[in-house]
Amino acid sequence: MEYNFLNGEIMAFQQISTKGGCTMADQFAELKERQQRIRNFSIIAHIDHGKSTLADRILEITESVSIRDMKNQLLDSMDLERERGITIKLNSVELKYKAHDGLEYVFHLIDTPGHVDFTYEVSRSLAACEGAILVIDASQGIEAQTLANVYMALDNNLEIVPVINKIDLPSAQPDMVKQEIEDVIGLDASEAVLASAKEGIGIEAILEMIVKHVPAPKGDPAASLQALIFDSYYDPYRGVIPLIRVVNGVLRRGDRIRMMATMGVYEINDLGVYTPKEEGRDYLGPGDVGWISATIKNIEKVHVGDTITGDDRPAAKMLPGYRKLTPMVYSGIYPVDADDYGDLRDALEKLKLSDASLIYEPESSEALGFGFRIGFLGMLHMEIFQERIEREFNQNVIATAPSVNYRVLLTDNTAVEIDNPALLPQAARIRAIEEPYVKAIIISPSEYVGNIMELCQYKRGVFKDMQYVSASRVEISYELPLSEVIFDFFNRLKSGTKGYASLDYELIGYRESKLVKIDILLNSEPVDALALIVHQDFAYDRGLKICQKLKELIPRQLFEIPVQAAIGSKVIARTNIKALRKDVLAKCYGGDVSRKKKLLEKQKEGKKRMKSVGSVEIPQAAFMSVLELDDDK
Amino acid sequence: MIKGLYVHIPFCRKICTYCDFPKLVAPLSYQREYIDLLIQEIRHYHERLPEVRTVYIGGGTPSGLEPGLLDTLLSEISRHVLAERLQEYTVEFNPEDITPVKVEIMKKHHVSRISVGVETFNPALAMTIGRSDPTTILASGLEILRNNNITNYSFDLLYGLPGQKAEAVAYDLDKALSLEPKHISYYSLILEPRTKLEHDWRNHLVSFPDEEELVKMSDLIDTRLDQSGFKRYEISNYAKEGYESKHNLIYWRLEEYLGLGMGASSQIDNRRFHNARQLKAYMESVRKQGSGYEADEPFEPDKELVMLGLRLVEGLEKGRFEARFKLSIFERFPDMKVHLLNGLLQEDDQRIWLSKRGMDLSNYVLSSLF
Repeated sequence: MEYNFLNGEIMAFQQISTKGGCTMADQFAELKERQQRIRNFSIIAHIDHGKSTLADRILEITESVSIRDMKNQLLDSMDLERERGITIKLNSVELKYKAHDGLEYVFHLIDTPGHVDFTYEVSRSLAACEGAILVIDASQGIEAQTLANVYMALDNNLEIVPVINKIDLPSAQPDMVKQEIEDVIGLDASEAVLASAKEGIGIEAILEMIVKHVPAPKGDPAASLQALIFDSYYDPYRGVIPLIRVVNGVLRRGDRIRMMATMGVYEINDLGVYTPKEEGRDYLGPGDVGWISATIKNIEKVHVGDTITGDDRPAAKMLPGYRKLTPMVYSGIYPVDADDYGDLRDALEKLKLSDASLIYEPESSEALGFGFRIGFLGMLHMEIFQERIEREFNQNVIATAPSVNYRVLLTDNTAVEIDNPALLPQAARIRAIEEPYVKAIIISPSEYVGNIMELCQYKRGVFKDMQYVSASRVEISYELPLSEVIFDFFNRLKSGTKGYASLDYELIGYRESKLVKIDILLNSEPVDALALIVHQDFAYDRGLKICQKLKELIPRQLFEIPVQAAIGSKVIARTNIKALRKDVLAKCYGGDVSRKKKLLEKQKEGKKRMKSVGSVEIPQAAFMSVLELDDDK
Repeated sequence: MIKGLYVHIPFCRKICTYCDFPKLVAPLSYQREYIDLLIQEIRHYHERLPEVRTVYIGGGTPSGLEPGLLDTLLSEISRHVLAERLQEYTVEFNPEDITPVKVEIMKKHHVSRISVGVETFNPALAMTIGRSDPTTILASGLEILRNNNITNYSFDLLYGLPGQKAEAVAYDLDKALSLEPKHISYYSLILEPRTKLEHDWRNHLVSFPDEEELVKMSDLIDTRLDQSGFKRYEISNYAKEGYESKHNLIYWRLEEYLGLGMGASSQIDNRRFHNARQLKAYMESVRKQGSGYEADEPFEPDKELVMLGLRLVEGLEKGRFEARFKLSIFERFPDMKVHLLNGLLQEDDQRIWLSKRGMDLSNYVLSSLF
């Protein structure tokens, strides 16, 4: 192999070399040797199957964390994640393990999120690994999301180390689970480790399996720098901190780096690893996983999946798998109290610092006043956003029903793009409406093919391909309208496959569809924030269901409120919200005063969560009602 | 000045399925001990008791105490309150407890008013709420009262019972009116959390009349009672002229009252507080500090005056509000104007009150004000 260094590279390298007083070749040899003892892996597990406990045990056994500092679930640091039982943010931890062969190994444990909105992020974390521990509950067997992530890990050529956890429970059936691993995933389960993370059983065996089976990283320390960004977070003092996996080359303090996709160029002030405490290092070589600090102010320059290279000697190619994240759904976010608009804007600016995928611009609505149109990666992303903006930033907001971006071709041969159904031009001016289509790849055990195809057909999908990946595993691809995939597709897919299917999709372009706008009228006044665009075949059904749903959700008021769905001037469905007749506390005596007062105050709080539109008070849930209409099927 | 004295007897023979008051079924030995400690608590406050103008002994089931204990308790109360000041002295009774012996004790201590827990005259409906049909026993009980010259008795009735229809309410009204009470409290059943009835409802074991039926029932009650000479004076209370409950009016006018016994609440000296709500804790507290006091509650007289005052048909005096809070009622609760416009509130020069529809929607009104 030839080493073709530019001067700057050599100089920098010599700085390190002089420390040890050894030659450059020695340095490479040392790096290469060390690289042989690096193992990068993640843990794949269903919620409650013991991922966090296992991670804790591994940290404990490798003495990365003193027992005193240990919290129950160390890796999940955001409250929100813990409550939802999902991991949104990725973390990476460097651990030292003295193996039975007498050598000390460096482990990097890379945590992954687990939801379809974040499929891409998961795939990038997995791309930073050579192996994965697959944790399966000894009583419950393989579950949905686990399988989806296993498929993704296999796609990334990861070596899988199966672990059957919770074997201490009386209901444990390790042999059955082993058989299941072989049947469903097609992995050899004969070496599966029987463990109980809770009781500390089998932890060393797992680590030994990692040493034995997970390959060492392959990269070349002398090649041009290629480091994969698999996550980032915002530090108020240092700016954006990318988390990276070095694939080729060496990264040092003072290096000028270039983000290959976003073209951002920065100088590294500091770099290091997590143990899980942040620790500075002099360099990060092939296989290393860590963080860099480079005074990056603009989070838009740091894309997950992007490749960091040297500005002086850039790599010829990016690492494979990069995708620019584009918002899939758009929703209007409005302050419940119009006076809070400025606060909401400030909160969005702050939130943006830690969420690169957040895209927003101001918009206004007749019904809701001034607010923002915000783009999201998917529905979960939107939900998390809503929770964060309310909880962390204390904003009381109304979110309108999410919509995809439509391309409207007008009769004058111009085109407009709209991501807000209320803005659809009048029918007479429209020549055609195009909607975004995605290519969806669904991987599932083969027995569910029938259900999957039925669902895709119902969702206006066009069948493209089906392949057996293994005897029991099938990969189905469909082209589907994005709107059909975003709204309630994943939930139905899960229930139709007992949760075993995985879903990934990417935009493939726009196609003309027969779409119509449904207006919703309350008290005979159209409410722009409730308008939606649907395929004309579903229009009547949707219109009726929305009316019924709104009847359920909008609290009765002093007068009767007609609820109508209309296409243009034609009413396609209607119902009435009856007037409120009785709302009274029958009893209130000396002993009840405080409690009854609290009751009234609570009722008042409930009203604060509602938005007055004309003379009607509408709760937040009503704006999302268009999404929750599918309980019939 | 303390105007009202409330004394709580938490014991019941059995628990009604809808009740969320502090109550329990306890052996006689407990009851004796309780009355002993209750007497200690009465003595603890003895300096304040001569001010009192009304006494109300409620529960639980005070009438269920055995005669000896009842007499002991009432004797103690008589020792502290001034008979010539008392305008009203009420004891709650279950129909089966109206016996010559107990009525004798009432008479001896100048109890002027008996409040009878009737609830319903329909045997099947009574069963759904864990009670028995009072029809026969009530008639003979009222006879005993009249023989002792106690003619001021009130009935507690419930509507909106599981599976009840408006016709069943008509029957209860007929029955009740034929027994000539002076006062009727007619409550719409409220499902309270942590009651058996609420639990059954959650588990779909019982269902309740819908709103339309409830409105029919309450209209029927209003009309029938009005025709029979009962004036509605509070959301759920109706009385013959001059027989409004003076004690309860103290609560609704936000005047001062002292509550003694387990779980009882007080509003005196610009404070609101309550006694311990568990029997053991209450008894322990009296032993230790002489009273059952457990904790203060926030006292917000402006809100409370409105919340309670608007329960009354007479409403509340705007001038009295302004005098007390140095602020007009509309400045304090600007949304009142909205409800004057939509007809839920009405006013004249002196007072402001809920219209008939406003009474049905009083939570709607109050929750928008607070």
